[in-house]
Formats: sequence, structure tokens, C-alpha cells
Amino acid sequence: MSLGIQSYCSFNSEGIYRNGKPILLNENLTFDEFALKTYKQFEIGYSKYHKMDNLCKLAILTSEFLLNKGQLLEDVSSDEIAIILGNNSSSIISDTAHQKSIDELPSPAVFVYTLPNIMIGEMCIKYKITGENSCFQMKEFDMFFLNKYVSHLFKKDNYKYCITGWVDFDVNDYQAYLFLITNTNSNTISKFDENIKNLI
Amino acid sequence: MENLILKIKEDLIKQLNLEDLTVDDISDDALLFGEEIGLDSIDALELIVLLEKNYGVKINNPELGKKVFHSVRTIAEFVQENKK
Amino acid sequence: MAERVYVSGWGIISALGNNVEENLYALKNKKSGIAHPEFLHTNYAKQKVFGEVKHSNDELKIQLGLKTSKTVSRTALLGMVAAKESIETSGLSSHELKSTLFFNGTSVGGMDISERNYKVFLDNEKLDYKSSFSGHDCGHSTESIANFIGSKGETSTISTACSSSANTIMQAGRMIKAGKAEIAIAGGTDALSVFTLNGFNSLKILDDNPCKPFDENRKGLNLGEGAAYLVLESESSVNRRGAKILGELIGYGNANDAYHQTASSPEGTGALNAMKKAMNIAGNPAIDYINAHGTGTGNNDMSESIAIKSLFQENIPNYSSTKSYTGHTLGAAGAIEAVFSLLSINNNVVFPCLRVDSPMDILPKLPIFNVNDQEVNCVMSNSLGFGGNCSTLIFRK
Repeated sequence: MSLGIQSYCSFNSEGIYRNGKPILLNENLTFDEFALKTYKQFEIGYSKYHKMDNLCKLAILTSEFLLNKGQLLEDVSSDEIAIILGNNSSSIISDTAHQKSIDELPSPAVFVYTLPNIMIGEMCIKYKITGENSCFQMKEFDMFFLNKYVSHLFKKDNYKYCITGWVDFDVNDYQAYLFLITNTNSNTISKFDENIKNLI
Repeated sequence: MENLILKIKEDLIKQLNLEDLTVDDISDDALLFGEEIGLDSIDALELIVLLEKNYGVKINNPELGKKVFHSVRTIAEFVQENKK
Repeated sequence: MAERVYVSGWGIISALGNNVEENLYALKNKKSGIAHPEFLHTNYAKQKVFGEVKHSNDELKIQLGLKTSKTVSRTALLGMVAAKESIETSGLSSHELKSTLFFNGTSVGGMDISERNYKVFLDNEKLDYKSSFSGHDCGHSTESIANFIGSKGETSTISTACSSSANTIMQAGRMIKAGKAEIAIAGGTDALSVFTLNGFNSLKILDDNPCKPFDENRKGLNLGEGAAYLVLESESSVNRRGAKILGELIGYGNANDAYHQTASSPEGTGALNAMKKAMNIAGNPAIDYINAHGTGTGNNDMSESIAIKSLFQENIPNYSSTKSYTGHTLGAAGAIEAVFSLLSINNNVVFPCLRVDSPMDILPKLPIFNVNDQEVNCVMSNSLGFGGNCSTLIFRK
């Protein structure tokens, strides 16, 4: 069984690239501005998006392009898709916001985002994914580890797809690199091995 | 009362991040937790915070919250009755 | 040929006690550890109750042989105590430890220190910036604990809320089964923090009084703290070392509920799928006891009960929530309850759900009310985290 990459998407301060091609370039807009521009221009149309914190917004927008607005997962059952991500800054942006609000009136809507795996929860809710999901805290994007872990998942369980990669939102910078891995042999761009970081 | 209703609608949109809605989209009697506006359980908790922060009105039990947050009108009526 | 995964060591610290023996004693004698806090600096101390570990940070440092002047987060300290016991009970040599893997689940990390120092920092008081905040991130706790016990193999930090340490145990089990590792220490740790307390309070899911999981009139959860680790080992390694076996990890499963950031679906889909997966891997054994996630919130206990009913239909195993003893220990819960599950197996005893006055009426069977001696061969333990991350572990004698 060989695993392949069906699509990949990167989203950082330079812009959004899908399968190596630019989707929308960023000219010095802040994340808030660029994300909203992306949401409107590509008519994402998901009201829950606006309640999310920036880490989750980054994860959802990157997923939208990765999955072609969810189309790529349409013919698959929800438990046949897994999500395994790496992250370094955890939920620091929301953590800071929550910490600030503690002395006045803590906001429940901020607190619910003070965990790095909530972004995975949001992805699962939007795209109806119920397979295995995990969030590993890493010093840096360790594709070698993720490759081993994801390959093992496909071997042992009946997954058809796995979304894997890195989503991180720090005070100074944000990056998301997501890969849609499949064992279905259809339309894959390249093999899934630990060298896929070269694709970014 | 009209001014209060308008202000509450503006507060809702801002505080609950209802960016896809305008004040005209929210009718006074629309069910806030129904299909139209679609608020969820976290929004209900945020509403409790909002009422305390912006209007000085406290709701201590979730059951009372359910009645008060029925629609914008019921919120306005509650605020008017209980505002300090 | 897949390796079997055995448990050859265990360590725990919780509101019930500093080690496995003390925890077992409290469980068997119905001694809950939930009380007003002594060490957590909060304005809510008189109003709310917690499953707090009954030792100050200085006392923990002394116990560990660390200088009290050293800045170490409570999360790391609790982890060190539990990890130390786990390797002592396993009999691993320092040479063997060098290649042992260490997997840690946590949500708080060093936040207990950061939140205190943050205030100091904002008030422009003097403090050493580096030592005040360098221990903040979750990975730092993992590294500190691994260094302390002398584990030099690969480390891994999982942060998936309340299922974090169940997931580390699952990860370790998988690696050993696949022949990628011989020995792994897996578990988790979390300390109480003002950050967490205020957050859970804003969600209005805390009970000001000791919690009542599976009771019709339950009001919410109590926050707790603690740490626990299992030493997981391949059959080959256990035989080679002549290690004592405490149990076997025979099943595990993880699934996402895909419903809400913090609430569980009414059907308990995530929990059901996690349990099904674990049962599948375990070969559908007869389950003698379920150590439920059972936080005591209106939402969780209902959702989890429905999931249990869907899976077991009319043949519901005996079940209880030991969170009625320890409170909800967040990232450490999966591992703490794994130790309790193994205690149940090793002592042929099941532990009650404390304070159930009016049982819920979803399951056709009532939760366990008393400490009961019973033959326990197989235990299922659930950990259902925020973000819909649901995990189940199954252990066997």
C-alpha cells in the first residue's frame, strides 16, 4: 500500500499556495485583515468562523483550500478520515487573551479556545470528520515523526484519508502547512514520505 | 425601548462575532437560539457576561438565562426591569 | 508478529495520596480527596472545592531532593513524583532508562508559575525573566521530567485536553506493538491553576460542592490535579528482564465527536466510536468494569451514558467515575484512571461512584455504590476531551 499526497496547502504571511500555485498573495496586511479578505473573496460562508480564534481561523481557511471546500472528502465516510497535526505555540494567543480577561469578567468564548487541539475539533465539525485526531507539541515542524505516525495509522486502521501537517499561530508569526494524504491511489501529486517538506 | 433594542442588537453582533448579520437581519422577536440566528451554548454564556458588563445586570442561574435570552425583545425588557 | 504490550511499572500522585499504595487505600476506604484548596492562591478558595494534591511545591521539591529555591512548575513536580515511582516499581536500570521513550500529556504545562510571574511582571516588580517564563510551555515539563528520571530516549508531548494522557498511553502501546520500541513511559500531569479555574468557571460547569457524577441532580465538575505514568513494555523485554507484570494494554481507540468545542454530542458519537475501536483491537472481550470519564457535568454524564448504552445494550458492565474521589485532573486524567483501572484488576475490586443520591435513569444498570470485591479481568477506561477528542483504553489481567 503506498500513500500519496492528494493536495497540499500553505498559508502564511506571504499568502496562500495550493499545490504549489499561488491562490492569494498577501501585501502587508495583518492576519486579521488578510484572513477576512480571504473569507469574503472565496465566499467561505460559515458563520461559526467568526467566533473562532486566529489559530482556528488559520486551520479552517487552510483546510478549505486543501479540501477544495470539502469536496475532496465527499465520497468518504466520516470515520475514514484522521487528523494528525504538529504545533509549537499551542494556543498562546487565546491563552493571553483569557489571562487578560481574568481580572475583569472572563469570557467563555475566549476560554474554549485555550487548547491547541480545538482547531482540530473545528475542522472535524466543519468537514464532519470523526476518525482519530491528535495534536503533538513540537519544537519545530517534524515531518519525519508525522510521516511515521500517519503511515502507521493507515497500516493499522481503515483510513482512506489523513490530514496532517503543521498549524501554528504565535505573537510574531503564523504558518500552516497541511497535506491531504490518501491510500486510494487517485490523482496523487507525489509520494508521501518525510521529504514532503520540500514541497512547501 | 427602541433605542435599547437597537443597542442590544449592535452589542450582540459585536460581542458574539455575528459578522454575517446586520441589525436589520435580526428582528425583535426572532428566536435567538433557533434556526434564524443560531446561537449556541457558549453564546448563551457570553450573553450573561455581556449583560453584566454592558448593563450591570446579573443572571445567576442558566434557567433564568433561557427565558431572558428568548429574543432581543425579552432581553431588552429584562434589562429595563433590572437595570441599576 | 505484533508484540504484546504489558504494564511493568506504575506511579501516581493525586488528591488521594502520593503513591499507588496511598491512592488504593483511599479508594478502598471511600476517602475522597475533594476539599477547599490549601495551596492554590485564588479568591474562590472558600467558595469552591478541588481535588488538590495535599503538598506544597516546597514539600514536593524536598521529597524529590530538589533545592526549594529552584523554580520548577507544579505540573513538572507532580510529574516527577509519579514518573519516579513508575520507574522504581518497574525495576528499570539507569542503563535501560537511557533508551526508554517518554510520552507526556498535559494542558497546563508551566502555567502555574507563569500566571503568578505575569502579575509580578505587569506590576513592574523585579524578577528574573528567563527563569520565570522559560518553563511555561508543555514541552518543557516533558523534558524536565524525562531529565529527572534519566530517560534519554525520544520524548513526545500531547496536548489534547482531557484525553492527553490516554493518548500518550495509546501512542506508546502502538509503538511497542509495532516493534518500534521496547519500553516506554507514558502518562500525564496537570496542576491546578487560576487560569483553568477562571476558564471553567466562565463555562459554568463547576460544582461548588463535591461533584456527583451520574447523579440526576449533578451540578458540574470539580477541578483536580495530579500525575500518573505507566511503564509499558514489550513481551520480549518483560521476559528478558523477568519484570513483574501489572496488566496488559489490549485495546485503545480515539475518535472525534465533531459536534462542539467543549460540549459532547447528545448521542455520544465520539465516545461510542472510541469505545468501539478499542473493543475491536482488544478482540471484543467481556468488560468487568468501566472507569467512566464521568466528570459530573450535565452534558458529559448524559452523553457518555448514551454511548455506553449504545455499545453494551442491555449488558452494561459495572461502572463508576473515580472523579468523585479525585476531581477532574484534566490532562492527567487518562493516566490516573489507567492506574485506578489496573488497581482494580490487581486487587479484584471495583470502586464506587461517591455521592450518588438519585441515580440518572439513562442506563438500565445503576453505578457502583460501594467498594465491591469482584473478579476483575478486563477494565475499560474512557477519557473524553474538549475539542471532541475521545479516547478509550482497555486493560486486562
